[in-house]
Amino acid sequence: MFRTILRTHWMWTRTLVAGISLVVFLMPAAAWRLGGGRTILVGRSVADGMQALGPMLAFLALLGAFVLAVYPWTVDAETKHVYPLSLPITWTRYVGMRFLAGALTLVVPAVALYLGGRLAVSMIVLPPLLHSYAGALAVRWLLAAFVAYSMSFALQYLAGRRATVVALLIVLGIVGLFAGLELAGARDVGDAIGRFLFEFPGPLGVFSERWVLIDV
Amino acid sequence: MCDAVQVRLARILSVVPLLAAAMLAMPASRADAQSSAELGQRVAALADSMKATQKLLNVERVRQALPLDDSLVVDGVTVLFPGIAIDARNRNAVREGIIDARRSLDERFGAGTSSLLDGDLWSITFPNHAPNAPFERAAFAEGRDPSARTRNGDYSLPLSAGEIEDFMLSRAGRRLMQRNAVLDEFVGVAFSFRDNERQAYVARRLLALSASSVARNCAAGAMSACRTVLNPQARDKWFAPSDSARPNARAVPLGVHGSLARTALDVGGPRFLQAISAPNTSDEPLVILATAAGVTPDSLLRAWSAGLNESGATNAEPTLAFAAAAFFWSGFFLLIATRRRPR
Repeated sequence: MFRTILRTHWMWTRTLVAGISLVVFLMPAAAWRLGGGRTILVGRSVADGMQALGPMLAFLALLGAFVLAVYPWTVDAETKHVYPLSLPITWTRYVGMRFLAGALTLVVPAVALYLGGRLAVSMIVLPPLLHSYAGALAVRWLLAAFVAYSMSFALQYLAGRRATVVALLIVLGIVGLFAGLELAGARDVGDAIGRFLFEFPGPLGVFSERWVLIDV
Repeated sequence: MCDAVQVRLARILSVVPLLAAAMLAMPASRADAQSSAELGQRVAALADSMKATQKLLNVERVRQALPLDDSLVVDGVTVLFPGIAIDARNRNAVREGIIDARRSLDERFGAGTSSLLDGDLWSITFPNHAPNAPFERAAFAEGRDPSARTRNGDYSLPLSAGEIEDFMLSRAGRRLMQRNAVLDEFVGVAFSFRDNERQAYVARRLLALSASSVARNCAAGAMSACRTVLNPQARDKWFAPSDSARPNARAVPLGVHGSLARTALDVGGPRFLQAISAPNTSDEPLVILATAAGVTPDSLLRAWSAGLNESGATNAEPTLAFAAAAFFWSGFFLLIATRRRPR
C-alpha cells in the first residue's frame, strides 16, 4: 500500500519536485556567479556570493517543503478524503505513510543540491586550506526541509481548510507575543523563547546554523 | 536649548572631523613629498579627536540628564546606574549575572579565580534620555569592551543574567591579560574565558583567508610560519613579497592571538592564571604564554594547531545530535498531524 501512496504522491508532486530540484541545483553556481565568478579564490574572496547561499537555501527549504506538504492534502480534500477513509487501515497509519512518501520526495532536491554544489566547486580552484562541503550542505538542507515539511504537514492536517488562516494567526501571535513581552519589559523571556525556537536543539535550530559550501 | 536641537547639533558636529579627515587625505594622496607616516599621524590625531568628541557628547550629556545616583554591589563588583532607569527585576538580572560569572570562573579554573573581578566598577548610562518605554533601552555601559558592542553597532544594556555573565567573563579576561603588559598588547580584548572551540574555528578561518601567505602556511600546519605571524617583532616577515597587502596591515587579527592565549590557558590550567603575572623572560608573546602554561613554545603551537584543525570540519558538517534533533521534531509534528481525523 505504501508503494501505491508513494507512486500517487510522486505523480502529484513530481513537477513541483523537479522545479525545486532545478532551482537548488543551480543555486550554488548562481551564488558563485553573484560573487564575481572567480575561478581562483584567495583570501576574503571566498566569502563573496557564497554568503547569500545559506539564506537562499533555507528559504527554499521552507517554501518547497510547505508546498510539498500542502498539495497532496488539497487533492485529498477535493474528494472529501473519501479515498483514505475507505482504505482498510487506520487514519494514523495513512497519515504516517502520506508523511513518509512526501518526506522521501525531499531526497530528490537534496541530491540535486549535492550535485549542484559539486559542479559549482569544480569550476573553482580552491586553495589547499579550503574544502568543499557539498555533501554536508545537502544533508543540512534535507534536515531543514524535513522539519519545515513536518511543520507544514502538521498544520495542514490539523487545521484543514483553515490552515492558511491558522498559519497567519500563529505568525501574528508570535509577533504579538514578542512585542507584548518587550512592552512589558520582559525582554529576557522573549529572548529565552527565541533561543528555544531558533537555537539547537530547538525546532528551527536547523535554520540558524551556518550553511556553507566552502569552508576551512 | 531643547534636547532635540542639542542632539541634532551633536550629530552635525560629529561629522565635522570626518569631513576634515577626508579633506586632508585628498591633497595628501597627490603630494609625493608628504610621507605616509606624517599622514598617518595626522589621521590618528583626528581619530583621537573624534573619539573624544563622541565621548563628550555621549557621556557628559547623559551624566547631566541622568545622574548615576544608585548602585549595586555584588561580591566586589560595583555597578552604578541611574536609579530611575532600572527596576528591581533588572537589578536582579545584573546581580545574578555577576554571581554566575564568578561561580563559573571558580568552577572551571579553581577557587579564587573570580578575584579577577574584584574591585571592578561598571556604570550604566543612557545616551539621550531615560528609557521611558521598555523597548527604548539603547544604553551606554562605560567600561565595556569594544567587542561587546551589539550587532547594529550600538551599545545595548545587557539586562539578562546570561548577557551580564558574558560581559563579566569578558572583563575578567581583560583583567587577566592586563597582568602582563606584553600579552595585553598582544591579545587586547580578544581573550575570552568562554570555550575555545568556536574561537579556534574562527581563528582557523581567519588564518586560511588571510591576505598573508605566511598566515595561510600557518593554517596549513607550518609551525615556523605560525611563529612568524604570531611574533610582533617579526612584522617585516608577516607578508611574503608576492602578497598584495597594505603596508601596515596585520597578518592576522587579534582573534587569532586570543585563540592562542586561550589554548595556553587550557594547557596550563589554574597555574597559568598565577604564572602570567611573573616577570617576563622574553619579549615574544608566544614564549611568555608557553612559559606560563608550563610547556615549550613548540608544544603550545602544536596544541593550538591541533585545536584549529579539529575545529574546521566540526563546524561545517552537521553532527549526529543535530540530525537527531531534526528527526525528533519531525516525529513530534507528525504525531500532532495524526491527532485529527476528518469526518
